[in-house]
Amino acid sequence: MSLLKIENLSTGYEKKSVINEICLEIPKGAFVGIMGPNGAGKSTLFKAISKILPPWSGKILYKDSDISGLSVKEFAKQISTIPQFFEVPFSFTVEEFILMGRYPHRGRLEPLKSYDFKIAEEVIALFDITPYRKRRVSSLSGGELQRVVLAQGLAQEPELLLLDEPTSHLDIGHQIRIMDLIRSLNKQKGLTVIAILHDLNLASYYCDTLVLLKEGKIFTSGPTENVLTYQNIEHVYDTTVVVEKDPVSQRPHVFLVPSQALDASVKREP
Amino acid sequence: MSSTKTFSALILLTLILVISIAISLLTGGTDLSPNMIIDAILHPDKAGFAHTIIWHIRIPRIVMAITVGAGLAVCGTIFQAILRNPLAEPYTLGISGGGALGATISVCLGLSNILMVGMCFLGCCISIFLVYLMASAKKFSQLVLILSGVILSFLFSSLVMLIFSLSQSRDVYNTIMWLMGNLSSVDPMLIKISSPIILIVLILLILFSRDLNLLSLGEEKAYHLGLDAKKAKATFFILASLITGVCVALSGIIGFVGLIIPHIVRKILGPNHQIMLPSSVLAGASFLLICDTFAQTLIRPLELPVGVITGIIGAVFFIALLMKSRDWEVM
Repeated sequence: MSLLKIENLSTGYEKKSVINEICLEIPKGAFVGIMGPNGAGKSTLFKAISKILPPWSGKILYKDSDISGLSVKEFAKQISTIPQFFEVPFSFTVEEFILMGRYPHRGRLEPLKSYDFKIAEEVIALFDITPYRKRRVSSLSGGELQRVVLAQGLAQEPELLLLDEPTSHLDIGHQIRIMDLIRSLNKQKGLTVIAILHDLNLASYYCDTLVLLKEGKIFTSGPTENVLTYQNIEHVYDTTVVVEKDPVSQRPHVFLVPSQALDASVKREP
Repeated sequence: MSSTKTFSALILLTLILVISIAISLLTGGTDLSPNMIIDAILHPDKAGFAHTIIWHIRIPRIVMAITVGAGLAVCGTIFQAILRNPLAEPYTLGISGGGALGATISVCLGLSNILMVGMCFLGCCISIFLVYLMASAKKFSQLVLILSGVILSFLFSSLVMLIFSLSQSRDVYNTIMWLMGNLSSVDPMLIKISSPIILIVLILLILFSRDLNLLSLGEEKAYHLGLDAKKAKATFFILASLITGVCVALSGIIGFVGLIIPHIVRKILGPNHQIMLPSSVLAGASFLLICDTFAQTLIRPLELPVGVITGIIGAVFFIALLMKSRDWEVM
């Protein structure tokens, strides 16, 4: 049974249609990367899956029930959504902030129970947040903040994690550490992950399945090796690339080719 | 914030409120000895001069200061949280200005006091509606909401000035005094009706304060965490606006309480609204009560409008607070 099933989904903003007739099935335990050039509809698809944007036509099924029929709270109990840009204007402490992830599991007037604290402790340990758990969220560095935001999402105890560019403003060290963590949650706890990723190589290292979008439609999707070919990338991104197998990870690695380099190389080998 | 520290802060705030009430009972336009005051309080049925002063002047006025102070402080806290904006408060959102316009019109039409309060409330409601309308056209972006509030404020105060400059009414002086914020001349019936209303709404708001924490993370994040953010935001907006309407109708424009109390409480106790809301109730009530005591005693036998006092104390305190903080971290 697929965990998430998207059937003929079309949607957009006001009168502007962005994505058309998207069909996608995501099995439980998958690690899916959504890729595509700017304006291809990645964020729109993400907003539709996270129930921010209602479908114009078609539907999204989560465990065979239409997500538009799920209450906001019911949805948040099972699906964590981590948006890309996140600012916290109020200086909550890291602990307070993470405990807010327990919101969907609590009744309106129900106080925090020992189980809520137990979950918070678990994610704090898991994400190595202990050194700055007492600090204010507004004082954290980019890498620390991203961990805390993810930890809050994990405190929701989701079965499905939706990530919009989880590594976009992190240095390579933090990128790898964050992606490693998500990968281990995916492998060890069976957490299903759908992530928008800009970096093709990060997508290649971590995702089992890739969905390549072009102009609001799925250009191709399937196992990473099948999607990340130079033909597909060149066609969708309209730029020349070289795809080789990475010697360490054995995954496809995409090399960008600047046009000057391409010209020079053509001259060298007539 | 540890729970013991929170608990002691709440106890301390309650103590401050109790002391402010005591001081306020002891002071006023007339000199009464403490014995006479205690006697009057302990025997509410007894008639007499002290009895009249205490039960018909001082106690209603204290109840009013507490109600309005608590109401404005909580409204400021809520507006700042849902709009994620440190400048939000009933006054900057134009809600108080609408009330002032309503009151001014009714004075020029020579309406009775009760009708004036009604008009004031109506003015608040209309401006709430206008701000809401202008902002919802732009899907409630926080910047638009504050901007439309500021614009409306200017519009309303210009209209008030226009009416004053055209008016021949001798009541203009009284209206100006009332507009500056005044707790002295209120119908006891109004206090009896509005205080319980505000109290009930405040309790409701405190019960829902956890939602405010989520909303302060932004509408989208709140939604992802399982809160129907649009609905919650609208509910908070309407409830807080209603409290503001009642407060302005009771006491005119008392600025700064809604801006400064939330800031002070947040600085000391942190931004968790489950702690902030009850603390704002206590701090706002004490603050306005203390200011009103000053207003009554500083230039005896004359009285200052309490809005002038809150403005001066508020501004000085606020500047000191900002100078003391390490960086420009106002939230």
